[in-house]
Amino acid sequence: MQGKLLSTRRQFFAALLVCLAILAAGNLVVQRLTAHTVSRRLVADARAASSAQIIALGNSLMRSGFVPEAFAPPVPPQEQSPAFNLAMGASTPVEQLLLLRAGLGSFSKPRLLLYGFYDFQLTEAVTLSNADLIGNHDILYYQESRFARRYFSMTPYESAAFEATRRLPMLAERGAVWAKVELLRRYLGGQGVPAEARNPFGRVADFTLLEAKSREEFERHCAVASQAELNAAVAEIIREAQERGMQVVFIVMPLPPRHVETFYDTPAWKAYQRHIEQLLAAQNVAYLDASRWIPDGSKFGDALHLTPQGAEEFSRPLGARCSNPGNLSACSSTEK
Amino acid sequence: MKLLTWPTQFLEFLGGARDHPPAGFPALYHPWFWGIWWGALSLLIYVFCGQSSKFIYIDF
Repeated sequence: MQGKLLSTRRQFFAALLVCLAILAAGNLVVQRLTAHTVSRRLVADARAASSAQIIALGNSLMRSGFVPEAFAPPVPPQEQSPAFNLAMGASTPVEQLLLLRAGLGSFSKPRLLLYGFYDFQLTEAVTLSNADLIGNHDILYYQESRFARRYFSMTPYESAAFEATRRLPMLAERGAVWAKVELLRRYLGGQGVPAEARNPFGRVADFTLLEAKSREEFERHCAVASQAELNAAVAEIIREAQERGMQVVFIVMPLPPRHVETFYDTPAWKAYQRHIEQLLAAQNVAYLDASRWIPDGSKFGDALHLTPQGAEEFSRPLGARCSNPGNLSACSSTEK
Repeated sequence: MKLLTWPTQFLEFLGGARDHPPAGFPALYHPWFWGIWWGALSLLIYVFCGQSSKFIYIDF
């Protein structure tokens, strides 16, 4: 009996082989199921939008806030708008740079880049760990990953893990699987309790976590950021757009009145604004402060994002000011 | 209670808490069984090991 219980080396390796075969099959399944993640769809859309002339880039604020048809109505109406929304939710300037490069490879006549941002996105260095690279960050694993590594810092250990992870779809796309499990968790956790407030982007309360905890903390952050240069990915976005002959406009995106009153109505934010305005002017980049354009809090779905109606109300006047790349004088006026 | 003895011993053996399986187990000594067992466990761990605190699900 004892002899039977002891696994021989041959049995062990046979079992290991079967186990690895199952994991390899799992790897293939994940690869197939994640062939159309948000970032992959966006890259594919960018490659197909060869006629786009005006490109909106940024994170979820631009994704949810920019309506190409409201910004630049197509002529004739059945045609596509010359504007294209290339922004992606939950992204840093590094992912946005990769998307822009994917787009620039196909856009035949790009003329204007509208880059939407909020808070300290322009000057904050991008530091990531592999644990951060889930969801839309997955683009870093598959789209010009060697190029992308120049623009975010990682410890040597994390860097080695990044190299290993990007070669295995099961690891690189783990966030897509976990997201499904998370939805199941939330569904089960929500049984018998009042429903949480949600909007098309997810749980409303989640986005409050992305704001500073207090005005004091925000002001301290402003003081530090006011000494910083543009981060490397943002500088590269500007360089590559201008190299293709595009005009570049950086836009402080509309934010809810609560965010503006708590954080932006401060001397520290105004000093930081002056600082980034100078940095951008030195790069021949226009700067537009639209943070107060939508004063009605009901036009926001959560602590940061515009509702579809709010997005229309932002995009239409933005188009009136900025849809003519030949004359951007109205597009660079700062409103403070 | 005796009805529960065999499943308990079976699960304890699978989990490594017992060295010997309960009676009626010999067919599962085949290496394929253990390969499938550990492969399935690895997949289960993979699927459910995602972070749950402060996880922001964004799909847009």
